[in-house]
Amino acid sequence: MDRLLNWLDRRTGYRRIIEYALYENIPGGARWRYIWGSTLVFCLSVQFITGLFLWMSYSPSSQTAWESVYYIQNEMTCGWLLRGIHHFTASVMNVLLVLHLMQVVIDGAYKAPREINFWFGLGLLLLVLALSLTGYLLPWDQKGYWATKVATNIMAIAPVVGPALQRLVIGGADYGHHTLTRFFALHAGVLPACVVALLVWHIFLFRRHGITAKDPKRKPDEYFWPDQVLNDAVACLAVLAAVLFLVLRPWLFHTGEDLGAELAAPADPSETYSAARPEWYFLCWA
Amino acid sequence: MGLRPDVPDDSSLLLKQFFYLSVILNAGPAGQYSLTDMETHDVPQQPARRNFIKKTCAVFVGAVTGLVPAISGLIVFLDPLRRKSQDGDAVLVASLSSLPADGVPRKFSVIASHTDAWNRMPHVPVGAVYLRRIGDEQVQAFNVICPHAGCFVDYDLSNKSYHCPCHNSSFALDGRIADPKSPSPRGLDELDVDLRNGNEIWVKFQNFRAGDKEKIPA
Ligand code: FES
Repeated sequence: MDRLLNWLDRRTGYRRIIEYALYENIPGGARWRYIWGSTLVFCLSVQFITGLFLWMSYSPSSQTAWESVYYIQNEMTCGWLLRGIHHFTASVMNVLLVLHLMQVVIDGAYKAPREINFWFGLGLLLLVLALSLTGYLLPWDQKGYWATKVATNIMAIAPVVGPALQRLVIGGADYGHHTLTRFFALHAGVLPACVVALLVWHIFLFRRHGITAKDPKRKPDEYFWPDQVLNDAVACLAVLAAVLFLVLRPWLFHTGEDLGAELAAPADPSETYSAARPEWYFLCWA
Repeated sequence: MGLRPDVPDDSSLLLKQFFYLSVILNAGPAGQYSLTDMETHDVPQQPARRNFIKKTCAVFVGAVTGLVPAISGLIVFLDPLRRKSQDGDAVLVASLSSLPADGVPRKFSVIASHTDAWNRMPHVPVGAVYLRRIGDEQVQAFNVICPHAGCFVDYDLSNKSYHCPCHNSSFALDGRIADPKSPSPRGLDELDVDLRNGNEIWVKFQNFRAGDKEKIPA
């Protein structure tokens, strides 16, 4: 076994990569205030995993999108759980983004030499918001349909390019198949690829400059592993617990709602929908 | 685990890998590694025992957190395994008067309502059958799908037999295998026929598992 690992190491250098990942210096030792970035990476991984599995049962067209989401939610074993985790992790992620940003501002981590990484972070923030916006339409229910209609109409108000931009985004003059295929390609392809690319740079630059240590240092320096890893893991567990709590809330409090994420009535251009609101986290940014 | 005697027990292999990973995780950095030009520091060693507990906790908590979303996805992924195949309903396929009296088979489409996962469609083609008279008031029906690997079987008028173009299975008029070199494990799948109101041919349409000696509903 040892020989096999040596063989592998000589060809891949994996030991060095593991060491590089684990033995990062943390000036002043592990602290709870350093967890926010890790929780966001965790949320993103959860979204990638659950998103891939949802993808396997989702059919983006105006004839089938709502039906397939209904099928996931009500017919498939644990489908409500999977969809609920994906939906509420998105919500929780928006909260964590704000906390991460506040942390950066409070500790002055945006200052030289870390400005460029700060911009990368802002880019990631926008990408995550775009992911939320595009994902909201995919179930093709009244809620997502009307909210996205409002959002894209606001976009059309933009001077000069507005109307053309709107047409490109919704794939024509009307909402339909082409809107869904475009939003789905953005949500599951383009935006995640951009997130991964930016995140790699974000983490690379973060490692290059090191953590922005909070003075005064309370302890001697430590490595990332194991103390900070343990802090981060516990924080991620707390995030997961919060998500599961939100998913199971109707069951815990007997509210009579569906478990997991809500699925409104199928999109219907002839039916009014009083609450054409975007998801709550857009309200705070707007 | 270790079900096949010729394969080394992979549970112990897994354990070994775990052990070696833990060796790496428990050792400190072997040298001053820097993939970029980062500064490196000397970090004071911590008491080994406290460290060990922390490491175990970190791995355990991390594993639990990561597994929950992955497992919920996996359960949903495996959902098709527990779905039962639907029993075919009787479908009106043709009228008796449209079949030639001499017993030559004719092909008919089967149009029925069909549930395709999340969509239910009325009146769509769900398959096809060969129908032939075997008496004044009797009709025989075969599914057109080849029991070998699922190709569409043709009727060969000149040889008075069914022939599958994919791997040359041939079947006699009564559906049995005609040429013993045919790769098909069984004859054509006969379907239940019901004559109603004197002239209506109703067929209980069903597909069966390909490649099996027995006729098992798919
Ligand atoms: S599929 Fe018919 S012979 Fe192979």
